[in-house]
Amino acid sequence: MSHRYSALSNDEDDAKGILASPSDKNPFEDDGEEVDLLTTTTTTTTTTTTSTNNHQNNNNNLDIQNESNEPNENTGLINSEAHPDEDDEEGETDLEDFSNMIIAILKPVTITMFLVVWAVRSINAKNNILGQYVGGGSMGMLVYNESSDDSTGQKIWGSLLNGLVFLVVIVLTTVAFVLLYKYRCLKAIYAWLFLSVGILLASMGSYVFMAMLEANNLALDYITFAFIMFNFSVGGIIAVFWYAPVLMNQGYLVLISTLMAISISRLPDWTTWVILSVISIYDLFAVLCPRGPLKVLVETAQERNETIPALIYNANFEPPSRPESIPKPPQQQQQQQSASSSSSQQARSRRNNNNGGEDQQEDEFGQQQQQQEDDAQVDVNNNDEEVPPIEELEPEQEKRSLKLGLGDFVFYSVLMGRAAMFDISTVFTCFVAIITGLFATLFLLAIFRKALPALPISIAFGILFYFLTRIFLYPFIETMGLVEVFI
Amino acid sequence: MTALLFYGCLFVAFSPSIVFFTMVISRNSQLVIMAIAIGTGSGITYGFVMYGTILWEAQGPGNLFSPACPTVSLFILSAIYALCFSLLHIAWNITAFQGYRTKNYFNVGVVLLSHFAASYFIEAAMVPTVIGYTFRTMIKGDSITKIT
Repeated sequence: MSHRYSALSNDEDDAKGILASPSDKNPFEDDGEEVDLLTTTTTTTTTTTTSTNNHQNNNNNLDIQNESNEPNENTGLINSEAHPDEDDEEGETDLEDFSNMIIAILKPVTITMFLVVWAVRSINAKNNILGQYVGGGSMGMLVYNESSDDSTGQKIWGSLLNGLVFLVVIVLTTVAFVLLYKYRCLKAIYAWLFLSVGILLASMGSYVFMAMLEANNLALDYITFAFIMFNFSVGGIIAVFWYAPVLMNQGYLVLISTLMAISISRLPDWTTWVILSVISIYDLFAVLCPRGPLKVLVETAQERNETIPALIYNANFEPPSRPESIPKPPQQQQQQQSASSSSSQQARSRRNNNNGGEDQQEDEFGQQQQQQEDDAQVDVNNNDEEVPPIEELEPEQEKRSLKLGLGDFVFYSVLMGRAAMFDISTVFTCFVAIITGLFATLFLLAIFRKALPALPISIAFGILFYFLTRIFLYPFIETMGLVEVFI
Repeated sequence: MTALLFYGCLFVAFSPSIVFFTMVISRNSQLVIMAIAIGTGSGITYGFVMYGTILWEAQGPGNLFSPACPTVSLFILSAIYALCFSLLHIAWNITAFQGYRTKNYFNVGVVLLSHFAASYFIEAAMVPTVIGYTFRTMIKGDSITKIT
């Protein structure tokens, strides 16, 4: 894990602008190849990693407090990790294919949203005794318990109050986390994280599991149930914080985000919208302002060349495979090879320096991974020259990773869950809106190459589209559907 | 509606555009011109929003039948329309891009007119006409490569 933020410091070394100077090649010129817009505007060569420093997802003690999940950490820091490869003058920059990266980040987000929408729709208070813990009801610890027969003014005032309380809790928790990290109280941080993840998986997982059993009229004894849930939650802690197959790690992260989003979706209606907007504005400030806690966190981690102990989703994707039809001029190939080998040497030395004492296990694993990556890189370069690959290495392509924090998953899914409670049309439009916002953020990440908040744009689009759909599009679709007219 | 009918409607309405996106656009991303990608995206979104909501509400017992053919479910008919319209979106986007890029506003006019016509008449015959016109412009036009 340490190489993630080490790569951040590679950024200065590479000093590569995002808009890679494609050697005064007009992308719209007719040069016989249709160039995709995406490829001309972003450096495909860099590994963009969106990482959000969220450690906060874990902090969800349902019984104790109101959402003390620190979405601020979760909510989108996007770190771009410059891949120590390739020069600026590469011709293939504008022909590279982003679909791998986009699919890699789109899959978990879509799966999380789908699971939350499904859970919110199928488990609600009307048809399930446990529905009060899942969706659309009222939560115990809110300042203002919204009920449908309050006046609008009361509702607005109450939800603003709730949002304020939520925001204060988030700020306090984030500051606490940053202080703990700054003063190297790593044991406290890890204890916090482990307990949070474990309790979240166990409690919310149990609720959802029981609701599913009840919905399907199945029976399960408590002993087996306890056994399953215990293994599930401990397995989750191990998979997220220690070694596990990548799919399992990613699966558990998706599950954690799903469960947390399901638990947040039981807030009342207005409160949810206020909380979403407040959190995204806070995220913007926390990440971009000079004294924002998340920025301080990232900078501290960078200074120490460590990784932040946080819940971050690592979307691995293979770099675009260059099609054979597009010829590689030999000198570019050589450039690429020499540049990448030199930069990979750089990267290797720098990464190896990063294995600080604190994150022992992660460092080992990270080192292993880095080694494999480095060797894979070198291997790829060797393949380019048609030298037979080294036997003991897996001849896999270099894996790049795009990092997105779990808080983003959670709040996107909360918005989708809220949209699902209204109608399926809002689900579709909000999905498009959120994905558009995510891609816009990735685009900005490619331009700015530093930690960026992933929440504001997506949540803004999502909220906007939700209300527009609800007010304007929904009656339109209903009316059109009745008369079978297509516009 | 039965599950068979539900899945039938689902696949009829959405699979061509989604398959087109998955197989053609995703695989050859470097070579795909922007207009096709945008058209596909807007076609899929159109299909989801306009038809998906109706289909979703068709779950459960009961079915609606069209007045002209009492054994044909309205949903499958709408699915076919949704399919045509998503394909039409692709064609309209290509033609419109071509028209705006080359400042040949006749193409844009064709897009507008055929859009109106398709909405007013909802004939399936519009689809081959419009798609045929799109191919004609693509083959005849000298600047298809400018449609990035």
